Amino acid sequence: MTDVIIPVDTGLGVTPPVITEDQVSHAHEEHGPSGILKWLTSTDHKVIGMSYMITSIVVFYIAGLMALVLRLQLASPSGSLVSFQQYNELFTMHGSLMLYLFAGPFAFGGLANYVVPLQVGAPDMAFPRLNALSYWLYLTGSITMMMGFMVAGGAASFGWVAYAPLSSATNSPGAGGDVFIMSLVLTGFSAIFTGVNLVATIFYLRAPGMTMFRMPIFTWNMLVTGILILIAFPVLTSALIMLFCDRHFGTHIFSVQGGGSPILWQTCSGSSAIPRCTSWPCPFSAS
Amino acid sequence: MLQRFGAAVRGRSRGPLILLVLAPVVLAGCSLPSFGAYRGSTTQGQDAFKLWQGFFVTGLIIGGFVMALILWAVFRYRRRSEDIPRQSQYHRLVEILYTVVPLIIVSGLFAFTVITENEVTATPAGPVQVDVTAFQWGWQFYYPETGKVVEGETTEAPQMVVPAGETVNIHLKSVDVIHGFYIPQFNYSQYAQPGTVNKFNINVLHTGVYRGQCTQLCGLYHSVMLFSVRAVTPDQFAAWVHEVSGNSASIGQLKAQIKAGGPGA
Repeated sequence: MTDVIIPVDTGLGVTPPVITEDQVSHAHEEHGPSGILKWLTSTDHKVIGMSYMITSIVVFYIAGLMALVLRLQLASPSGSLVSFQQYNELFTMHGSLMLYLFAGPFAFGGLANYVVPLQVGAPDMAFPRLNALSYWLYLTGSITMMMGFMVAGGAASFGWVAYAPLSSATNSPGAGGDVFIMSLVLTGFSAIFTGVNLVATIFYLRAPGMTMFRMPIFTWNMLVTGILILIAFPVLTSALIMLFCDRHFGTHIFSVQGGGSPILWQTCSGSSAIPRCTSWPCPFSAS
Repeated sequence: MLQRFGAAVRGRSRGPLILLVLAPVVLAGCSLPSFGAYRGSTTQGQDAFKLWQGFFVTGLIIGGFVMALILWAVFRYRRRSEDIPRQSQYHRLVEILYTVVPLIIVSGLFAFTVITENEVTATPAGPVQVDVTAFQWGWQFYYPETGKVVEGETTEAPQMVVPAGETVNIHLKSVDVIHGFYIPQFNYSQYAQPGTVNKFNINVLHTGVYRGQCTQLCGLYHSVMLFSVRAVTPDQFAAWVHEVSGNSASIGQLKAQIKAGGPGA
């Protein structure tokens, strides 16, 4: 017995147009740059998302190597693998890399960038060029952070929370602290732009029929993450700029001697830390 | 199926009931294991420890109950046929229960936390006061009644002497960066902040020596910023605190240094 082929009725009363091989190749023809230049100038959310993920995984491995050195130092009492100063630098950079430059960017720069437009049926993120700017700020910030090891006096050694007044110019002199602060200002703006992009994409670029309550749980998580970023990172970034002013321009925002308050730093970085720390596991719990 | 679901729901609502019945037992119980924490060598530390026990037991009960529910769902509803079991979403009673019951649990834990915190942070005046000053990288213990001073840097590990069984008022501050005053066996840690005096009490139960350390990264030698607390009988304490301090000259120098912005400030 042979199979009977039943012609498919599309129900539209029209025959679907036949796409030939020729038309397909024409539709995909590129007029822009190719190769590395194409990658460098891309505003495609998938390309940017991939760049984010690869960069953050590289950062992850560098931070992991630092953790290995730290554990080796602690493997025996009074170990002498690294000095007091080197140890403080290493765990400060390990924490900063893992939290600021891996956990967040991998999730909402990488995963969300790649997946959210696909899940809501958007052609790209709402602001593709801003998205590219986010990535390049993030890459620049990451390199800046790791350059801390190359400046005189070594990298920042006041812990990834940078509590004032330990992070002041008198208690932590040298360019290491400034490099740390400026790196976080760069990545802070990167995170804010990504947050704006995610929220705008989810609110305004959903495909017809994709109502808010039909959105996949991952996208919902990313919406919440985006809003949390917009609460946390502007506060953190401005606090970092204030800290920089304290170090260089003689403002006394966080120093007791000048009438400031060290607790203010904890309030600024802490009030931003709560949404920030919530925003870090949020994407992973969804995926 | 709905009957079984109902049984589960009744099981769930029993959770807080069990909790409420067990809570006083748990909070009073010293025969319970310590669950990895110090039992507390001060009255404040004991309060914190009892809260820890209560939280741990509550966690075990709720965790065990959730685990049982998961296993029940996994085995009861494993795929045995093509039939889809009766669906029970939008079940109003179930939804109300799993909203209200966790709220009750959290409120209960919150209430116990507030009660314990109030006990731990209460600062009634006691017979002894110690002004503790943290600096990079050491501690100074000053007894205002007699002017006695003990101080030491890093591995010198100065020793704070207090009478056992009496209330000691601690006034904690820092002269440079933020430090952390922590004695593990007291189950209590407090920031030493520049520009702020943090006050708390300790009532050490038994004589003995308890090690302490700085718990807030404070610069180069943070990891060796050690100290200890020696609890002695009140008589021994009275004798000790009236002894002439042997190293008062160096203390004067230290204070001058600190006033001048050093060491490392």
